[in-house]
Amino acid sequence: MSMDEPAEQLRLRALARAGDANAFGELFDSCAKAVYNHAFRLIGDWSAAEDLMAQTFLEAWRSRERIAADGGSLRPWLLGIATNLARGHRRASRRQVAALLRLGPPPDIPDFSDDVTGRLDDANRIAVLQRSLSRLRPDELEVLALCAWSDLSYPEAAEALGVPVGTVRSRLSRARAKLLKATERERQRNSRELTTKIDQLVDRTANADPSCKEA
Amino acid sequence: MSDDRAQLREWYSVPADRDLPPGRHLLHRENLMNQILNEPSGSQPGNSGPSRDSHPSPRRPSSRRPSARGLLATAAAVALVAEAGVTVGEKLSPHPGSPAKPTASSAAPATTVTAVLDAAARAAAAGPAVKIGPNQDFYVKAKVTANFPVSALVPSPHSLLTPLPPPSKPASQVVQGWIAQSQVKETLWKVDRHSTILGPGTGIFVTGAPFVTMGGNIAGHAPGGSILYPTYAYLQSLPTNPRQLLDLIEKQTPADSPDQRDGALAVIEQLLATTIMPPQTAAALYRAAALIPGMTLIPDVTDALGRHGIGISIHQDVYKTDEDVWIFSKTTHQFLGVRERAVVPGPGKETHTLVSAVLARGIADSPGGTPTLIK
Repeated sequence: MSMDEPAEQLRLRALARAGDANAFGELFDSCAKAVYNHAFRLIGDWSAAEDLMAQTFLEAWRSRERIAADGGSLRPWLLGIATNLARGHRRASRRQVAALLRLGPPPDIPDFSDDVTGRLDDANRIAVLQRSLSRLRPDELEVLALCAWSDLSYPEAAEALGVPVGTVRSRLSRARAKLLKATERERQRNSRELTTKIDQLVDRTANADPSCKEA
Repeated sequence: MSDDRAQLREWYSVPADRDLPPGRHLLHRENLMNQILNEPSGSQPGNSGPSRDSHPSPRRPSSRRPSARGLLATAAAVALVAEAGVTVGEKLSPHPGSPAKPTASSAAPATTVTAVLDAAARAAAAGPAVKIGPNQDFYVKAKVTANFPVSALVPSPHSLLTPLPPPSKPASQVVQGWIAQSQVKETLWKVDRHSTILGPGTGIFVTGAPFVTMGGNIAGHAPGGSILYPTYAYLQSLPTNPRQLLDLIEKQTPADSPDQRDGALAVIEQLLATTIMPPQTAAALYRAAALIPGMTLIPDVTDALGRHGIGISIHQDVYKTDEDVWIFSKTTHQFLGVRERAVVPGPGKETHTLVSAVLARGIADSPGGTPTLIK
């Protein structure tokens, strides 16, 4: 993974900042998939995630002068842009979905050769998990998505969101408290497997958050 | 610590990382390169945040999506259209940046938002109790005048997030819906003569962030009905105390979310729009809406038929440029329709507008079947 080489990262940063097209091509090749998946996790629609991915790189190009000269991979920066763009999508789609809810979803027509079964399974799992996740504020979920799914460090997540590291920590901490409550709720709903998973998540979140360990 | 993250990620690997569809990586890469290479050499990247104003965009990516905002308001519009075929006022503010401030204080405010909604509640409570069965369809017919094809609001087979085309000249369209009352039936929408059938069953799970639009099989999700998939019996079982009802609705929308107000409103709109409620439930719903802060009164608005009514303006919380207006009859206080305005972010600040008027509501036994009209 050349993306992890510090010298390589500095080179890419400098080139991208200077508006080098090939550098953006390289960036696209190494990060498009990560951005695509991150976008999906935030908005839950593969087709929209693809659009959002494309928008992210265009936005990155337009704001290339904001790339800091120093730093590691540009992936956190790209995920941050995607996160910002996703906020609009989430909002829109919530309203839209509520309004169109009763219409039922469109049939799940694979538009490319794809494992439909796997897709539905994914959808089901998300549907179950989101019930507990729905208690989180968007900014808490973003932190969770960046740290847990996209594997960013706290400083990287802070960079992506443009907030202090302490804010990342406190959001994660709040998220944990809410998930704890969600566990109770799910227990009442008698969903054994999910309860266990949420328990695990709460544990993991606590462990992942150094400030909580001290407490 | 990274170990913990790895575990977190494993547990939350929903779903596993996926590659872009075949060919799409190259396509998007090419689009990006074209965009970059076609940019006039003198152009500067934006310095002030995600600048949407500074891109010359010689070749816009095909994925131009007009923002959530447009969608959200317009989708809600369809809901309201469906509900009561409301109309929205003829004059959507031509200045997207400065939302028409319906000054409640101007012109002898003989009424307040609360009073109007309370009158609407009383009207609803006095209405006939019409029961709709789970195997029936709620029928609605409305005139809709919009500056985009209303058919764009119907979800496509591939995505719920169908982008709206850029605004053009307002045109009137007749929209008819046969809205299934159970999750195992199809819903039919007709815009003028064009029909779209939406498949049964799988349904959408709405809880807000982060996976708002996930379509998945939710069969068995709420066998007895839920606020999002209500049967008539379920609706009858709801509290008629507005505060309790709102609490119940808010429990179904993300707690502490900045969007919670909009979430609750969306649920209320959805209920009003897509089913027939017991009179007491409908009344409680209007009173519950009155408990949601931030609405203003518009003394006079007209619907798509030119009927004059009282408007309740609901500015979107976050994007103040967007506005929904519910319109009520000045005399009967029945819900007439809706007016919607949504601004597309971007250089043009294009504005999607929609005005509707309900022509008829009823119950049909099958999609496309002749409805029995109700008042």
